[in-house]
Order: sequence, then structure tokens, then C-alpha cells
Amino acid sequence: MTEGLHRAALDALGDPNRRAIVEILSAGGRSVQEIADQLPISRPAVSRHLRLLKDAGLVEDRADGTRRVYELRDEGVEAVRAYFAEVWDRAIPRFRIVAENTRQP
Amino acid sequence: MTADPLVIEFEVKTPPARAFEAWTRQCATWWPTSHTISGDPAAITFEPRSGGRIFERGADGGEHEWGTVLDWQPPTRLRYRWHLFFDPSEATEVEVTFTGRGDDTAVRLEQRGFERLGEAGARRRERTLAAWSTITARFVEAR
Repeated sequence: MTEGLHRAALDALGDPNRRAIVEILSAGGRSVQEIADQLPISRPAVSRHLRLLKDAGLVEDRADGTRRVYELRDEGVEAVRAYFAEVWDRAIPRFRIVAENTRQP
Repeated sequence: MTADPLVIEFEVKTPPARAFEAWTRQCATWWPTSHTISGDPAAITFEPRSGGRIFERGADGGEHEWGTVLDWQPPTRLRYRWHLFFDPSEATEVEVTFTGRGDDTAVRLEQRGFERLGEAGARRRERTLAAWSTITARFVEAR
């Protein structure tokens, strides 16, 4: 997993509609129409968000008979890991400043 | 799926004892408040012993558990179980080592145990759901 993909996943979650889609999909696979039915946005808009989530590695799709089902990809494990990478990225530069600029009490 | 440990290595221009002290006793001065439960903690405490609690105390005096110290070995090594923002059953483990290099310190942080979040079967599904909602909820607050 590259740093770039962490960023893509976090950036993709920066939009409230995409977070809502992730929440809906955390309960199980859904078609575009089923997702659109639960959100105040159009079906084409849902499709656009799904494409972005798919590019970010968060969502995958599969054929189920005549319809296409979207699902969360490979659980939340990678997302948890990406989340912590982001936390440390913010925390460590701040730690360095404190460690290097204060004296032993 | 990647559940490999997260490893971060960097150097600080200060001796290991100072770095260890800053990491633990002075945690509240550098830990981003966006990643705390109270949002504005009065104190972040590492109880300095194996089995010690790691917790945040909010301005209102309320305490929030972050984890448990597993190994307390100043000034070179610290290992703790950490579940900030997660259920204690979803804890990961963090090990930080401080190695002297001249007047500086090489810091190596390893966070592991992510594979525990992805156990097989029904439990995996439950945990997955919990993990996703935690992530999305925290993300909203951090932005």
C-alpha cells in the first residue's frame, strides 16, 4: 500500500456525501439506485461519487445478475491504518519542536 | 489488504532522555487536540510504569482512557496498548524506541495489530462496521 493511496482514501472521505455512501455500504452491498434512494442527491451524482471512491480503493463493484452491486473493499483495516498514518503525520512534527526546543526540567 | 505494522522513523536533535520525556510527560504540548476526545485536554498522562494508564483529562475534569503502558524503559523504549477513539477490544500496539546517535536521537515508532481488526467470519464483519463508522466520524471532527 503506497502513501499515495492513503491520501486518496482520506481525500475521498473528505466529502460528506461520500462518507454517507461509505456508511450505507458498511451495512452491505447496494446498487446505485438503492444508495440514491437513501440520499438527497441524484443517481448520476451517486455514480460520480462511487467512481471516486472506487479510484481511491475504498469501494469495489461486482455484477449480481442484471444489476451492479457496490461494496466496501477489503474491510476497514486499511482505512484504520491510513487513519493512523495521518495522525502520526500531524503529531510527529509537533513532537520534534517540543523535544528540540525545551530543556530538561 | 495490508495489515502490516506501520513504521515511522525520524531523528530529533536532542538526547534520548529528553525525547522520551517529551513523548510521555509533555505529550499534551504536542499531541494534536483534534485527535483528543475532549478536544481541549487539560492533561495527557502516561503513568510511568508497566500496567500504567494512559489517559486524557478534559478541562471539565473528566478522564478518557487512551490505553495501557506495557513496557516502561526510559530513556530507550516504550510500548503501549492504544485504543484512542476505538473500543478497547480494537486496540493496536505502539512501540517507540529512542536510540542515541551522538547528541541526537533516532526515533522509531511501530504501530501493529491491525490484522486483529480483520479477523475472519462474522466478528470481522462487526468489527469492520465499527471501524468504518469510527473512521468516518473522526474524519468529520478532524477536518
